[in-house]
Amino acid sequence: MDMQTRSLSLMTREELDSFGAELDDLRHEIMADLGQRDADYIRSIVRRHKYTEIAGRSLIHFSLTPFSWMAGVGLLSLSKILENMEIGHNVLHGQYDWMNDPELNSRSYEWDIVCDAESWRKYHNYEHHTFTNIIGKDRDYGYGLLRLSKDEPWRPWHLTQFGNYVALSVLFEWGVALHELEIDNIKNGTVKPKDKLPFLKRFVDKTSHQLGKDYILFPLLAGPFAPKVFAANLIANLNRNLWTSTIIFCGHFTEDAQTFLPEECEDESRGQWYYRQLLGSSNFTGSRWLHIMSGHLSYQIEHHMFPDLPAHRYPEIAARVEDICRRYGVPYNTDTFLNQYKTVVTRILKHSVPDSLTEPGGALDKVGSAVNRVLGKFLGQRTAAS
Amino acid sequence: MFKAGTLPLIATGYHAIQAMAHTVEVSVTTLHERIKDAPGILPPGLLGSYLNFLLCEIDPRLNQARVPAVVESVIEETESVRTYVLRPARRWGRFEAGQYTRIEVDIDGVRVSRNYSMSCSPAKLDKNRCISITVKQVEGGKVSNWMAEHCEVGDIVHLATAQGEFTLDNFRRAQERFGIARIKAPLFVAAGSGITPIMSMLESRLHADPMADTHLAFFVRNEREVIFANRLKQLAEEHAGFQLDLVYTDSEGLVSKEKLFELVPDIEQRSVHICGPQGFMTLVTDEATALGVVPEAIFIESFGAAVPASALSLDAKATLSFASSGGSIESEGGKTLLELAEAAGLKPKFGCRSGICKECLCEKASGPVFNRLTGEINSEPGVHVQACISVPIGQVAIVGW
Repeated sequence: MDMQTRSLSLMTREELDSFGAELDDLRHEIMADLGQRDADYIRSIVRRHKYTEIAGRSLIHFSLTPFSWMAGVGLLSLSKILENMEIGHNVLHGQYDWMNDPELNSRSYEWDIVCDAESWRKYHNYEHHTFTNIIGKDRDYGYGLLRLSKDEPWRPWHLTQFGNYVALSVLFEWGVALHELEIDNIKNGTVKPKDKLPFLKRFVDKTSHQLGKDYILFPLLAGPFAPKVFAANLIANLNRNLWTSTIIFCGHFTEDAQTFLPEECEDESRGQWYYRQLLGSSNFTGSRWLHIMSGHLSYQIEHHMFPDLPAHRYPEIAARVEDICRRYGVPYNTDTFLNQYKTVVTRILKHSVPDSLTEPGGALDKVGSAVNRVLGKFLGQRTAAS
Repeated sequence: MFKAGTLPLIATGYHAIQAMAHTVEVSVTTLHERIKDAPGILPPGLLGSYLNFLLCEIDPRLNQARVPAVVESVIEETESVRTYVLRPARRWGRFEAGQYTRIEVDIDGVRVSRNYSMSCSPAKLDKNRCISITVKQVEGGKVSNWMAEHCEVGDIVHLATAQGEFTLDNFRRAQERFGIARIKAPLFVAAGSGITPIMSMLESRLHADPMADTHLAFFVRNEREVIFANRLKQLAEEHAGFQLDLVYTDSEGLVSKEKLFELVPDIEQRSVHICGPQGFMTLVTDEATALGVVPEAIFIESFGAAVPASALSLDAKATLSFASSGGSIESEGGKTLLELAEAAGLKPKFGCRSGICKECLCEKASGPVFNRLTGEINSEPGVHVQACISVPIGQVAIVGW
């Protein structure tokens, strides 16, 4: 049964309270344990980010063969992803504020993407993390472009939403940067364009800095070889866009990630908040470096429960969070990266057509399950073969 | 084996290489020193931050973004007091005798800072490129205990520019204002580790004028607790104008009006410079005034030891002051920084108001706050706290509001 918007009343008030208390205890335990190890970890990641960037840019600038140029692009992409996911995103959440180091402080850190940090803190840390997956309040939900739940009525333009999704992924950092503009709210008149002027100023400042750096300064430094540097930066930024959007879609838009209605989240207790974060998020499994490259958003559930705990701690506490969830009989959504991503694509496709077609027994349901069978078989064989 | 003449050739070659290596070494060392002491040679922005990153990777002493200082030696003064001789990068600048500096250390991943007075005269910096600070281990003191247990020769700490008004300028200005007849010389009154800025001023004054009339009344528990015992005795031997009075409070009792008058009969003709615990300074101020000292010629240095967390009560009356707007507000029972600021008519940024999003993060200059979410008490100066869940439980100052 498709139940993307589910009632939060599966647990009693008392159960929710003790569920919340157990998670609070876990949080306090880790908070009290933070120290040198965490400082060393994030500084080692910063070091890797800087060295890969220096190596990547040097290769791009001075390489004489396409292969070393490609290696440079690869290193620069790697560096940009590390900076964006494991450093930028997590530092801006205040995960390392306790270190009292201005270079790793959420107030002063500015990351290497076109979205300015202030805008991000407001719209991501506050809106998205407080109102996660509440339809109408969490504007991250489908980014106003995608229909991902039956709660939103189907419109003909949803037919092309897979194309929209691809376009959003390609231009992901621009989508993130323009998020604060609230185009949808300007269109429906709830927000005046004039109120967005301060944001537009910050937007122009940050984007001109980013564009100037990647597409003017660095290419010019290469003199006659400017085009190859320009292209390398473009590809590295594209790689990062595709990677980050894929990771983020796997965190909230998998098949079982739920959505909520504003009225059921009024006067929410701490336990209810934790529970909603759990239901609205999904994890994926993988190697240590997959986790690091995803900024540990592969532990989206833990990240949403404890957004200000240093992310590299999530793997340590995941087993305990899962255990708490099991004891309270609530679902803990986790699977391999590939399986989770498959459900994301399925969900986007499924909601692009009227619900009557995808309901059990509907025309597309039959086609869909057939495709799934074939795809499953194919992927299954490949896994078996390797 | 070798043809005649080969050996001398090898020897010459060896010496040439050695000489070259030496030249390279000298120029690298010179370059190293140049960079270390350079006053802000880095370009601003991204390029500068990458260059500085590389410099720090080569040697943390080359850090251009902060002022590193190397611990040159550690001197045990008493059982619980140590003097750290530090060699700061030249761009740290100069200091006035009696001033203090903020020293930053990393303790278990956390950058913590404290103010310590320089305990040497500025002449020492000119001569040896070194300064010294003197730290007393305080019970429960995060930095002082860490320093005692972990700080070793060769370690790097970071310093902020010297500041402070508790200097010899006070005496000079008081003398100009009230005349030499009214204020002929300074009297220094110290208790315990309050001697540190005074030591700096004594050495500086006597260095500039070896015969200068200078009086020190130093209150300590007993003989074992005398910080700088040798330096003080040596000063007294070398300078006829310097009178040293050590008062052991264990046997002679605490400071009193009679005691002060007995030690310094000409006290009313002096400016009085006091450093020690707050209670001590208040007491000496009152008594000196009663003995006829010009009130405007009494100067104190409150070197604020952090209040231990156990001494704070959650019901304590609290005051919140705002550095930018200049206002302040009294706390009414357990209200958060955010609620208080709003009650005072300010409009600080906020988001979730429940400790999740950190939109309301503000910089606390000083004072203790209670974290509603974690139950922790934070008394650290210069840290960021979440305004929506932090309850002031003392005198709290916020920067930027």
